[in-house]
Amino acid sequence: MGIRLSESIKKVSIRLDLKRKWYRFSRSPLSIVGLVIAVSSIILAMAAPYVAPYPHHAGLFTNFKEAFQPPSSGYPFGTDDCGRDVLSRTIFGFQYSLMMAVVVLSLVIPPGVISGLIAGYYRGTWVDTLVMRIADIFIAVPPLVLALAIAAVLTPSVFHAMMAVTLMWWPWYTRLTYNTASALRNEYFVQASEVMGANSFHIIFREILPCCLGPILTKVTLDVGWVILLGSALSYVGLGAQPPTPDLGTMVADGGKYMPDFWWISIFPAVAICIIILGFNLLGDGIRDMFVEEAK
Amino acid sequence: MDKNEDLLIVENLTKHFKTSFGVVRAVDGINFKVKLGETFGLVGESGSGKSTTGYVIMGIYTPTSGKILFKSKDISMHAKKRPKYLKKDLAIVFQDPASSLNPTKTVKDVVGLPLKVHELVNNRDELDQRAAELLDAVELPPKDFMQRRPRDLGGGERQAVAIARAIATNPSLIVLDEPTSALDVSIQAKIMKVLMRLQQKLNLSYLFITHDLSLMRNVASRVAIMYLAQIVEFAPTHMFFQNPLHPYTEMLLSSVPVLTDEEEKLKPKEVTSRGEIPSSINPPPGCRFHTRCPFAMDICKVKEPTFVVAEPGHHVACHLMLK
Amino acid sequence: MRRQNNRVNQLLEVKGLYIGYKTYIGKLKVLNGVDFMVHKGEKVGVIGESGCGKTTTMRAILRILSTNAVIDGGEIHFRGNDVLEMGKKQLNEMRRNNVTMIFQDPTAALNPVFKVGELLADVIKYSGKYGSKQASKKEIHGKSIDILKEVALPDPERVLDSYPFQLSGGMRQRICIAMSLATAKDLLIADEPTTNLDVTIQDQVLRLMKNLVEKRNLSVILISHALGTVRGTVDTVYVMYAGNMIEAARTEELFSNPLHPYTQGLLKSVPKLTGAGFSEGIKGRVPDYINPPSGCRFHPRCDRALDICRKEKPRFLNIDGNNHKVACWLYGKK
Repeated sequence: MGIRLSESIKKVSIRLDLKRKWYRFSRSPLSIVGLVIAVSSIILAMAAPYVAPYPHHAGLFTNFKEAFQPPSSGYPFGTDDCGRDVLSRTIFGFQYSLMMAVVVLSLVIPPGVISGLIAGYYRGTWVDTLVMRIADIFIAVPPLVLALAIAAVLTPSVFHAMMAVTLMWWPWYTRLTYNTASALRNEYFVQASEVMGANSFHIIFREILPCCLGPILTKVTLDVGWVILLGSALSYVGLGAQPPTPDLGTMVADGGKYMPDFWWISIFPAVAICIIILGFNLLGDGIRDMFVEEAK
Repeated sequence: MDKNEDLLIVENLTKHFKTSFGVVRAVDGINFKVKLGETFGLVGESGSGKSTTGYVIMGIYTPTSGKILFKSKDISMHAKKRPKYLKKDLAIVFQDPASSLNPTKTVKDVVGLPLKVHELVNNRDELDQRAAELLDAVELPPKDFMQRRPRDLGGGERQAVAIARAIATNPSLIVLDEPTSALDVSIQAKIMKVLMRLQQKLNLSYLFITHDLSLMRNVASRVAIMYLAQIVEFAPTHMFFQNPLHPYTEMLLSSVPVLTDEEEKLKPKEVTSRGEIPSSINPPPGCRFHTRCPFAMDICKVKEPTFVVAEPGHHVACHLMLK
Repeated sequence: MRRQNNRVNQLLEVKGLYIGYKTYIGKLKVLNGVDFMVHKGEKVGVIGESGCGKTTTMRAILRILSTNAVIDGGEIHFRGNDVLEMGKKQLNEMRRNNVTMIFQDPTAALNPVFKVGELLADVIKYSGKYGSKQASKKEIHGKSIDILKEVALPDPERVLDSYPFQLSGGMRQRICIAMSLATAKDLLIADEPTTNLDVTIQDQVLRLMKNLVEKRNLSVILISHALGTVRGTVDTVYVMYAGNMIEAARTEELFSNPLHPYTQGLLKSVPKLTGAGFSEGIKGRVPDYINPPSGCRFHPRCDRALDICRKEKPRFLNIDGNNHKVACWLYGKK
C-alpha cells in the first residue's frame, strides 16, 4: 500500500512539474506557434517519402521537358532547371536539414557539456584554464573558413561540412555549461555533498548536470535553426551537399542564376529555411520560459 | 569516548583568503573545545569569522595554519583529503534553506544520498525505510514529503530536510551555521525544538553558530564571542549573560531587540552601539575593538590583549581586565 | 503627548482591501479584507511572518504591485484621496513628494553603476523641493552633504564620491534612509529596513530612524518579522496573518496583553534572553492561498477555535476603550 501511494504521489509531482512548465510555456502564443512549426517540420521530414508528391525527384532524375514550369496544380511549387518538382525536393530538403541538425548536435553536445561541467567544477584550477582556452581557440576560427580549409584538403561533401560545423560548435556548449556549473559550484547543496563524502563524479553528473539541463535544452532548440542555417550556407557556397542531393541551401544557390524570372526555384526553399529557423527559435524561447525560476 | 572527553579541539586556527583587495583575515588564531553531547555557541556579526570557522572544521576550506582534532584525529585539511569514514561523523546544516537542497532532487533523494554514499543501506526498500525514519525524526510525515521537491516546501520544511540529511549517518558533531536566521519566528521555534530533541535522543554535539543572542541563550551550554576573526570572550552560558565582561559583548547585548521588560533589565545599559565594523583586510592594530570601544586606553591601540581567567571557565581578552 | 487619533488626523486608511495574484495553479487570494490606519505623525509597526501579505499591502499603497496582481476590492485613502482611483499624474506626485519606501535590501535598492553623489543628486533634483526651478550643482552638493550628515555618515565627501559596493551594509541602508528623508513629507514606509544588517548596526540605524522621524514629524509604517525591532521604535503595532490584520494596539499594550491566539503563539515563540527555552511554535502551516480556510483563516491552527470560526470571518473591532482591536470570535459579541 505504501509503495502504491508513493508512486501516485510521484506521478502527481511529476505532473505538477510538467503542468507548471507547460503553463509557463503556453503563456506566450508565439511559443505555441514555434512548437507547431517544429513538430510539423519533424513530422514532414520523417514522412518525406510518403508526403512528397514526386519522391523520386529528390534523387537522380531529369525531365527537361517539364523544366522551369511555374507553380501549378501538378507542381505546386513549380519545377526547377532539371524538371524536378520543387515541392518534393523542398520536403526532402527538410529531412536533410533536420538530419544534419540532429547529427551535428548529437556529436557536439557530449564533449561540449562534459568539458563545461568539468571546467566549471574545477573552476580556478589549471583544468579550468586548459579547457576554456582550448574552447576559446576553437571559437576563434570562423566556421566558413574552417569548412573551406577542410574542403581544400579533403573533397567537399556533406560529411566534411558536418565535421567543420561540429568542430566549431562544441565550445559554445562548453561555455554555456561552464557558466551554470561554475555558478553552482559554491552553492550549499554542492558543498553539502562534498563534505558528506560524495565523489566528484556523482557531484558533477548527478548534482550539477540536472541543474544545467534548462539552459542546455534551450540552446539545443535554438541551435537546430542555426545549424540548419550554417549547413545551408555551406551548401550555398558549394562546400556541403553535392548535387543531386536536395539540400535547401544548394537549391537556393542553384536557383539563384534564374532569378527573377524563375523565382520559384530559389524562393520556396529559402522560405522553407526561414520557417524552420523561425519555428525552432520560437520554440527555444518557449523552452527558456519553461525553466525560468518563478519568483516567490 | 567517555562523557567528559573533548570531541573537537581547535588549536590556534587561522584562515586567510587571498583576494584582489588584499588578504582577508577571516579567522586569526582561535582556540576552543567542544565536549561530547554539548552545544557550543559561536556568536558574532559580519566579519567575525564564525561561519568560516565552521566551514574550516567541516573541511570546506583548508586551514592556513593551526590544528583541528576530532576524536583525537588530526583533520586540519580539506575534506577531499580526509578519510571517508570520518565524513560520516561530521555534518553541517547551512544557513540558507533555499540553496541547501538541490532543486532538481526529491526529498527522498536528498536524505538518501548520505545513506548511499556511505553504503548504510543495501537495497531500495531499506533506503525507503531509513529515509522515512529520518523524516519522522524531524517531524515531517514521510507519506507527504518523500516525493516533494524543494520548491514545494517552505523554509522551515527545507531546513528540516537539511537536518534529516545531516543526521542520516549518525554523526557525533553537527555544525549548525545560522540554521534559523532565514526562518520566521514561529517556525524557528519548531526547528529549535526538533534540534533539541534530536540532540537528546542521539547524543549529538552541536557547534551552533549565530548572531542572535536571544537564541544562543536558550541553546548553548558554553558561548564564545567572536569579533573580527578572534574570540574575545567565552564562558558557560549563564555566566556569560549574567556577567558579560568584554565591552564588545556588552555592546552586543545592549543591541539585542527584546520583547519584555524583564529582558530589558538584563541588558547592559552603559554601552550602546557605535562605530562601524572595520574591514577584515586591515584590522585595527592592537586590540581590534579599540576603534569602537568606549573604554579604549592607550595600550589598547598598540598591544593585542591576551586571555585572562575572570572566573572558572570564563575567559576574556581585554586590557581592562588587568586593571 | 496624547495624539488625537480621530478622523481629522488620519493620513492613510486602508479599508477592506482584497488582492490576489494569478499563477499557474490558480489565483492566490492573499489579501482578505485588510483594514489599516495611520494617523499624522504616528509610528505604526506591522508584524507578521513571511507570506502574510504585509509587503503586498505596502506595495498597494504605492501602487507598485507586480503585473500578475489583481485588486479585487477595497479602498486606500491617502489624505482623503483614493489611491486606487488616482491617475498617473496624481500618483507620481504622491510618490515623489508624500510617500516614500525603504526596502529590505539596501544593496539591491541602490544602482551599483552610479556613485552615491549621483544617486542623491537625482533624488534631490526630482524632489518637490525645487519644483520646476533648476537646482544648481552647488545647491545639490550642499544639500547632499546635509542629508548625509543627518544620517550620521562619517566623511560625507568621501561617501558622495564612492560607489555603493565600496560601502558597508549599514552605510548603504543609511543612504537609502537619507534618500527617502530627502523627499518624504508625510509618510515613510520601511519594509524590513534592518533585517539584513548586523545587530549592533541595526540598533544604531533604528535609533537614527526614530530620531529623524520624530524631528520631522513624519508618519512611519515599519514592517518587520522581528518583533523586538518593532517594539522599540513604534507607537502602535498591527499584527497580520494570512492577509488579514488580526490585532492592533499600542505597543506596550500588545506585548503585555496579546489577545489573538496567533499573537500569543508568536510572542511565545520568540526566544527570551531570560533563558526559558523554546516553545512548540504554532502548529500547522501557513495556509494555502489558492484554497484558503473558510471563515477565520487561522482556525485550522487555533487551539481554541469555535464553530463559528470555521464559518464566518471575524470582524476587526475595538475591544475596549484602549484602542485595542482584535479580529477574533473569542472576543466579539456575535
